Order: sequence, then structure tokens, then C-alpha cells
Amino acid sequence: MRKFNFLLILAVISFLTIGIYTIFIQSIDESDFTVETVKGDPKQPAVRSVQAELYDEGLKKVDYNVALDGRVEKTKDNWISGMFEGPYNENGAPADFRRFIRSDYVLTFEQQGTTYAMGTKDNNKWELQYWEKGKQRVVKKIFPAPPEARKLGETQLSPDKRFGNSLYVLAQDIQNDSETLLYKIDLKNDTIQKINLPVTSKGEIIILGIHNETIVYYTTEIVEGADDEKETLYLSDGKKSQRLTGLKSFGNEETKLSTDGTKLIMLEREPKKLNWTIYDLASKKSIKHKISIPSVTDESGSGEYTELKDDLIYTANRTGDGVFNVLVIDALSERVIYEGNIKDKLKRTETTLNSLVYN
Amino acid sequence: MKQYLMLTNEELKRSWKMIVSVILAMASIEILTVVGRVIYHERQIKEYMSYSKLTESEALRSFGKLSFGLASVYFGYIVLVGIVLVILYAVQIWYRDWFGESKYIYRLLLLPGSRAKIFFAKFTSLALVIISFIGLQWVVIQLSYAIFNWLIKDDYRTSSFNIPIELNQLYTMNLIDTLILVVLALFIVSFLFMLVLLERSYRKVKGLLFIVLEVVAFFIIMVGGMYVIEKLDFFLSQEISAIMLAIFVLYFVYTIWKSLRLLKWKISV
Repeated sequence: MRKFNFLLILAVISFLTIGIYTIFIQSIDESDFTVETVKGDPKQPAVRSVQAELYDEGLKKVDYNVALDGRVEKTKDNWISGMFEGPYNENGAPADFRRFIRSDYVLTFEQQGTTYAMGTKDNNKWELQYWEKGKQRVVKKIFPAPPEARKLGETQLSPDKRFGNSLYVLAQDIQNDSETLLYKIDLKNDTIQKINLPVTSKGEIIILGIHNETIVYYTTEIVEGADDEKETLYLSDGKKSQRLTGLKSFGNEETKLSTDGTKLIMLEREPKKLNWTIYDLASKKSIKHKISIPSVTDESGSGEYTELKDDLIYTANRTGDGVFNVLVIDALSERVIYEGNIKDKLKRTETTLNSLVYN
Repeated sequence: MKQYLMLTNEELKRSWKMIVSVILAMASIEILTVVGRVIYHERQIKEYMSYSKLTESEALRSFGKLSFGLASVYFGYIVLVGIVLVILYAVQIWYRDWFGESKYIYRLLLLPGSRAKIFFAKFTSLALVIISFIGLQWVVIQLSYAIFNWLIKDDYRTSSFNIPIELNQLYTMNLIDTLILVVLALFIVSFLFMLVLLERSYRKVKGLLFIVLEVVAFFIIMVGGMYVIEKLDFFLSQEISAIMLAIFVLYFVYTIWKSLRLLKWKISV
């Protein structure tokens, strides 16, 4: 043994000290989450698909996905696994599709588990591919570019909304200020139809919602001498446009068309409450709603996330150390359809709320 | 195997005083910086209290409490010095055999059996030094934290344990990351071994020329590979990671293979 004493001493030191480090790692507390339902059924479809994404920002970095029915997924990344992580919308998609969506000229949009990717290389043909996660299949389509769109310079195609078999796509020349064109692609018959937006703009056009022939959109224009852009809201049936007046902040906060296409929902968040306005497109009348939300703002930060999706308001707020309140509110009826508290048994302050994700 | 273990032991024996001195010096400096930071913080608060005529709690509220992360902020620089010393040791472990008084290399080269055991004895010595350096540094952090808690008044410090951001890169609380770190360090060691053996094989201008060629080739492989991948614009980020990882593994194997070949065929007594 004496022949190897220096080797043995250093080997023992290495083993012991790395052992001390390992024991320390094992001794670090990890959050233990439970979900306490206050109101509603966590198994109803609109709630079951929601998961809170929580990050442990302490010494040991752990990501948690907590479903409202109590399921908890825990992820600990290391440098190697981090190198092989892909973006969220690529998960499970075939390599060809992933290769397509990473092209510079392709833009993507996700709706109900399907990722739509679209772009044009040379303005002569439009390439569309979409990945249906549920069916685990990719659909590829190539269309000849519509005549008006061929006249544009460097064209950016933004898939915006799928309604039935129709996919609505915005086409814009990104190098020159030109009109934004709106097209409806019939995915069943593989045809493209131009939708006339009677009022357009040299600036940007933002579609707030599409339902059959009803399109709510706003235009932005730079006004000389003014700091802010001028935003004008329109309702169109594809033939004529009607300017919607008296509505404020539709461009700043979450504004969406209701799923039946009859109302516009405008949501605004304040520190302790949510305000939203329901604007009836037929009667042109507005109804204001508000609801108090439990949240705390202390030295650990507020931690909040709010989103309007399919007429439902999803909001998650930190209400204490390791406690996050989740509310799902029916925006049209102001009814709370679900309320629950995600609680960390260890009340760790290092755990922060990132967002709510929908599967 | 026995000869390889004896050679490794011999390598460590010859560096033992240096290794122990460096470790003790680094640990002492780190602990002293923590003690100094605590004394400085307490003195600052007392001066602030007498200058502003405030109570202790008022002064702490406006001055802030001392965290261990702040008290150990100089550890990052000391670790950096440690890394430089390990790099120097990787070069010195070969040259001392040629330039030492007893020309030890001739005895090594004349040993019966494969010369690979000379290479791996030195390589193992470095691996052990690197691993114990990482482990001992963690023990010093823990020891410093205990001293910090013992030395400072409870009201003057934050309660949670944290380490500076630079040390967070080294200690990610993930053992796989630690393993990757050791592999990366050993890659640098094997690269340095190869450069030293190139110089010893060809000597003077020719040796330097081969070193330059090897370094340039390494950069061409890495930077050129990245450039081609970027230009092709074909691979997914995961595929690029896999390619880079494969290049790294292959190059690591190449450095060891090249060193063994030089030791076997080019280096003569």
C-alpha cells in the first residue's frame, strides 16, 4: 500500500469531497406541489388542458409543470440535455417539418394543437405545412401565389387563424410600406381567395378575430409629429367596412373576438383586478365587467399571468410563499368556472410562476 | 497495471508539496476574504450609525444585510488562479522530466513495456488533481459559510445560503454537469499534452511549427465546421449539437492517439 500512498490520498480526497458535494445536492429541498380545488371541476376540458409552468430559481434549477388535477412533471436539465432541447412547438414533430419552420422566410402559428408554418421563397409559390400533433401527421401544400401578392417585394406570410377548413393568412411586403393583403386558404379544396378589407393601411394590419365573413381588425399608421401610432378599429364583412368608435385600448391589451363571432372582448389587467369590456358587434353596446384577483406584491415579486382564450380568462397569481391561485373565468357570463390553489408544501420563495400552458 | 499505478503515485509524489501548498494557500486566502468582508461590513454599519445617528435596525434597513454570496465574491478570481495553475501543471509535468537535474525522462523512456503508461500516469495525476480541486473548493465554500455564520451577528446577514454567479457556473447542483466539466478539463489537458509532446518530438523551430499547425487545424475544424453548418442552413439545432459533440469526442480521441504515437515513435532517448 505504501507504494501507492500519494495516489490513494488524492483518490480518497476526490471521492470524499465529491461525496460531500453530492450529499449537499441531495439535501437541497425540492418543491412538493399539491392542488387544492376551491371551485369547479378540474377535469372539465377547459381546465384539464391547463398547466402552470413554475421555475425553481434557487440553488438547484428545477422546472415544474403542474396540472390543475394535481399531476406534476419535474424537469432537471443538465448542459448536455440543454443542448438537445427544441422549441415547444417542435415537440414530437418530424425532422423535415422542423427543418421547414426554421427557415428564415417561414412564420408559424399554433391553434388547438396544430402548428401552421407558411412562407414564400420567390413570390411565385406559397408553401404551407402544418403539424397535427394529435394525428401525428404533417400536411404539405404548395399553392401558386395570387396575382396581387406576386407584385409585392419580399413577402412575409403570416398564418393568423383557422376557422373550419379555412386558414386565414396575411401577406405583407416587409421591405416597403405596402398594403397588407388578407387571404383565405380553403384547406379542403386547396384554393386561395382574397378577402377584401375595404379599409387598409400603409402601416400594419392586425386581425383581432375572424368568424365566417366577420373580420375585426385594426390598422396602425404613423402620424407625423405624434409619439404614438394611430390605431383605428374596423368591422368588415368582406364587402364593406365599418369603423368602430368609442373603444379604447383594443391594441394594448388582450382583445379577441368571441368564439361565436358576435362580440369583441377587451381585457385589461390591473394589479389587483381584471377589467374587461364586452362589445356587442350588432347592437354596438358595451358591457363592462370586473373581478378582484388575489395577489401579493412583496420582495419576492408579484408573479402573475393572464390570458384570454376561447372566451375564457385564465389568470394565475402568486398569493404567498409557494402558493399560486389559478382562476378560469367565463368572460361572457362573468362566472368563475374554476378556482384552485397550487401549493408548495415547503413554501419555497425561490419558486416563480412563468406562465400557463395549454396542451 | 501495477507499473502504471506506481508511476502515477510517483508523479503525484514529485508534485505533492506544490499541490498541498497551492491548495492550502487558496483555501486560506478564500477564508480570509470572507472574514475580511464580514469585519468590513460590520465596521461600515457602525460608522454609518454614528455618522447618521441611527439605531442598528435603521442602519441595517438602509444599508442592507450581508449575504454569503457577497462575502465570497472574490472566490471566482481565486478559482480562476487555480485553473491557470492546473494548466501550468499540465505543461510542467512533462518539462520537469527533461529539465530536472536528474533527467528523469530517460529513466521513464527506458522502462520495459509500453510507453502509454507514462502518458496515462501523468493524465491520471492531472485528473485526480482536477477532481480534488473541484471537491475541495466545495468543502472550502461550506467551511467559509460556517465561519461566516459564526462570525457575523445574526441581524447583519441574510439567512439563505447562496454563492456568487461565477461559482454557480461551476457548481450547478447537477452531478452530470460536474462530470462534463471534468471531461472538458481533461480535454484541455490532453490537448496541452499533445502540444508539449509535439515540441519535444521535433524540437525548436520545427516543433513550434507543428504546434502552430495543430492549433490552426483545431481552430479550422471548430470555426470552419460552425461556418459550414451556418452556410448550409440545413441542420436543426439538435443536429448541430450532435455534430459538435461528435467532433469534440473524435478530436479528444485524436489528441490522445497522437500523443501516444509521438511518445512511441518520435520521442527518443
